[in-house]
Amino acid sequence: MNGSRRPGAGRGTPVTAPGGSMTRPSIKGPRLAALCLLGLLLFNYPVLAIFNVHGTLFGVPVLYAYFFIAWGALIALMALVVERRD
Amino acid sequence: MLQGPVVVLISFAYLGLLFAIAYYADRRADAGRSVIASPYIYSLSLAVYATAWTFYGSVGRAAVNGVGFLPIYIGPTLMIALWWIVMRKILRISKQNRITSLADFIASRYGKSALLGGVVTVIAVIGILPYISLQLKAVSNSFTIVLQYPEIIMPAKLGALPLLKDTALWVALILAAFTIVFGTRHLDAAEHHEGMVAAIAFESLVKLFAFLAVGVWVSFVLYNGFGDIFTRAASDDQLKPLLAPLEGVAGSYSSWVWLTILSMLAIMFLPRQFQVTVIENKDEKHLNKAIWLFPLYMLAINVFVLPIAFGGRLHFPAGNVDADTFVLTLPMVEKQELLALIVFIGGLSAATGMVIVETIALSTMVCNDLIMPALLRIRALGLTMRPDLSGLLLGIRRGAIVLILLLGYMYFRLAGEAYALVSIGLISFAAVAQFAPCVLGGIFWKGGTRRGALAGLLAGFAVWFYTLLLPALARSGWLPVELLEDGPFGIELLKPLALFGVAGLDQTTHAMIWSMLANIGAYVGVSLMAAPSADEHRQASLFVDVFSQPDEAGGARFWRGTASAPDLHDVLARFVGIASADEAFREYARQRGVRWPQEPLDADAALVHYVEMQLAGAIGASSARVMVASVVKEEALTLDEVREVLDEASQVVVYSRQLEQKSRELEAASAELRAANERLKELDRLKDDFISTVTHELRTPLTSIRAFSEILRDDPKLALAERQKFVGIICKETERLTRLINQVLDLAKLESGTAEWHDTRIDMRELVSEVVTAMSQLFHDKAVQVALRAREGIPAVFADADRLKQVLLNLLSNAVKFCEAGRGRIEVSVSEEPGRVRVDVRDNGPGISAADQAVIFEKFRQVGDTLTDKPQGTGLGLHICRQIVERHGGRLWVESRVGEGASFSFTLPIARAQRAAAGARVA
Repeated sequence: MNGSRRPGAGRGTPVTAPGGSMTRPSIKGPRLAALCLLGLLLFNYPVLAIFNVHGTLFGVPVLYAYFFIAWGALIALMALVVERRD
Repeated sequence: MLQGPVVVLISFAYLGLLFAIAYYADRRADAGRSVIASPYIYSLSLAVYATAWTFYGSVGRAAVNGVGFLPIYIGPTLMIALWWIVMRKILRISKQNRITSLADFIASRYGKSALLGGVVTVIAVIGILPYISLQLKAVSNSFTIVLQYPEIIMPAKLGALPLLKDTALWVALILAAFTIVFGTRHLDAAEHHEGMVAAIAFESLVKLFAFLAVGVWVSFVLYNGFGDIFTRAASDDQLKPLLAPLEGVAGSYSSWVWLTILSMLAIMFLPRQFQVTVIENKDEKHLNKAIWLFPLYMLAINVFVLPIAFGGRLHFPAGNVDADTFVLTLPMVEKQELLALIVFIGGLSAATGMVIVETIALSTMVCNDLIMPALLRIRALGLTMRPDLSGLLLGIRRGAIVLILLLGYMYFRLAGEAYALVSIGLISFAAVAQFAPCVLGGIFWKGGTRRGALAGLLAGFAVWFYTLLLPALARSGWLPVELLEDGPFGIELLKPLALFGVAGLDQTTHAMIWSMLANIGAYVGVSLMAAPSADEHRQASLFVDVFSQPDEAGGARFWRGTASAPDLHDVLARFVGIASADEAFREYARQRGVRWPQEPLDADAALVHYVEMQLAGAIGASSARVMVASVVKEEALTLDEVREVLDEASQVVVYSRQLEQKSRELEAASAELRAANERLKELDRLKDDFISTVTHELRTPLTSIRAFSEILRDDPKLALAERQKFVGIICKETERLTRLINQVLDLAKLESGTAEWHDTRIDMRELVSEVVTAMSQLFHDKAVQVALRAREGIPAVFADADRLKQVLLNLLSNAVKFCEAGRGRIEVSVSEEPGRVRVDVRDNGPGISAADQAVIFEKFRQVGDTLTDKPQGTGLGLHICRQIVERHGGRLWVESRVGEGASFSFTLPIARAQRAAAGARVA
């Protein structure tokens, strides 16, 4: 049957791409990567050491409160970056 | 309410509900109206990450070292922030290459290597066994505890049960049956399990609800809010150290860091996570919502962990209740039966979700990437000849599910009792983390080779086995404990928990450091030792450059061979059934505008690639390759040819851009040519007109001359008077002819622009009177009165004097021609208009009708009845006058009414302006 001797030659009608896959480089990627770095900083020494103190916030030990508040804030930032119209 | 039969009944009812949801979702999917095509369902399905480990184990860990459980959830949150870059790429690659599992992904990337796929599968199965055993342990323990109600007795205290009475075994078997019915009812070409996704999304809600319920109850009913719990904890000597300040935050900082990294990798490479995140993904855009919804879920399910942990410690100070069970035993001890039941179902939910998805993912890998490639290669079985293999595939998968669950149970029996839940789970995390280098390297680095990936995986797995699995077995008594204390054969440097003397780390961190070192080192080192083969290079391009490829047939560019369409159809039908194969071919043909099967399909590279993709969806990339290769005579592409194709492609892009530009220029040039052609044709027509008219005009006098000459010649006896008359006519006609020829030549010169002009400053008044004087004889002969009217001081014009005289001569002789002899009056006036000098020649002749006014300036046109009143002119006079006047930048026109004479006027620009105009024209 039909053999193509040269790669790609002798093809039938080329199939058109279902919408091109050349996406405009979005700024979401770099922004989210920055948030990842921020998270790595926030949840590691030495920032943790800052909050590793006595005392309570709304009755909850400061460190615990810090974790959840910082975590929640990070998630909120991620939502903001992703859901924004590019 | 918490009696045994009731609990069993409710458990089965819950499983039945899950099954119903899955069934419904599958039916909707078959009808094309998918239930799970929603970013919210997608995000919830990702929460299968939270298993019985999260449900029971987090509290257990928190009760022992405070926030030590958190990195397991914060790590994924951070990794998910990177998903926009990493996961989108993996999604795109997987969709384009019809990836069906993690092993398929890795095998496909490194040249569709079946060996690599097999190795990944084995590592995955062995690595996940601890994790599965954890779930079994959690479910069976929680069931046992509930059965002891109202007593609180820990299962460990009940002693080891004989095999057939072991709840865990029954749980394993029931889950196996459930999973088989769930996930292997039929083969899906793309390995989509919509029912499963819907069911686990539902489960995610159930376990979240259950955990929140018990959390709220502990915090606000059992105690008076968070403040109450923590204040009481602060006054407890045993618990106080757990509150801040913590010693190096729950263990050492390095432990913390490595646990975070480990979880970041686990969220990517756990087979069940890969399955739901990548394979089951319906739309890339769903990733957007998942990026923040899934971390939010994890936050929500962890909010109450610490309150419950401390609440439990406070409630059971004696320490005889496992912290892993607090979520269940707290409601039980307070006689909250309904809540305890809800918690039990929540735990069951978490465990079953994990088991179902994980075993389905693993069984797919075992079937597609381990067993099938091996079977296909054994020619003795003649599998390539069999007409229908779908039954075999399903059978292999079902067998794999049962085997995996039984192996999980076996691990539970052998080593499950030694550790707390979280520790068991971390062993599995470390195993799947071994996939990170070759996958992440594979999608960003084209230099990663098959050998490198193989080396990395084997090295990492070996270290993992030695540093994590062996100790677990040793601690459970299946291996001599001396192995841990003194090292193998007494070699202290090779102690499994302190390799090369690196001691003081917890075992997970220790294992991670060494295994990653070995893995990455081997991967990079071996990859760099040899260049990638042609196959690997092609796959590497497809993977790493996935975002810059224009269409799905990218793989087809890298293929060469001969095939026949019917053979390809057969091989496809063998695995997906004739109906699906027909459908696939019809779709392919439709895209090319071919009506198949009435018209034959071209078996070219694109078709082969298409069939291979469809096949890969059912049996994995490497098996698909083997099958297609069996019907196709392929010619091996060398690396150079692959490079050639890539170079060619980039060259083609450059050329096509150049071509575009050239064709644009070509269009512009041809438009110009067309316009020029039109002009030339027009001129040609005019020239033809001119020639025909001139020849006609010339012929007329010539005819007269000839006629009369002949008469004179032929008739010598003509009377003298007649002879004089005829000769006179001949003379006049020759004069006319001469005049005409001169005028034609003059006109030709004027029109071609080759006439010579000698412009000087001219006083129009003087010029006019000169001409009038010169013509005085004519005026006298015709008895016409001529009056000249011109003011003094009219500015000069810059013009050719002779030509102007020619104009005046013409106008005046016309005027004389059309005046009645004896009564004619001609008035010539010279006047000044703004910027111009104007000359009028008025006569009192018969006048010119409006129709004729338009005509007289045209070539060879005269006014008057040519029969009776044969004019003496040539018909060119006025035309030439107009040319002359217009060349000087002026205007020549006539104003007249029939019966009231005619007035011919022309204007000429005053000297200064005219010189400028002349200068402009010359330039």
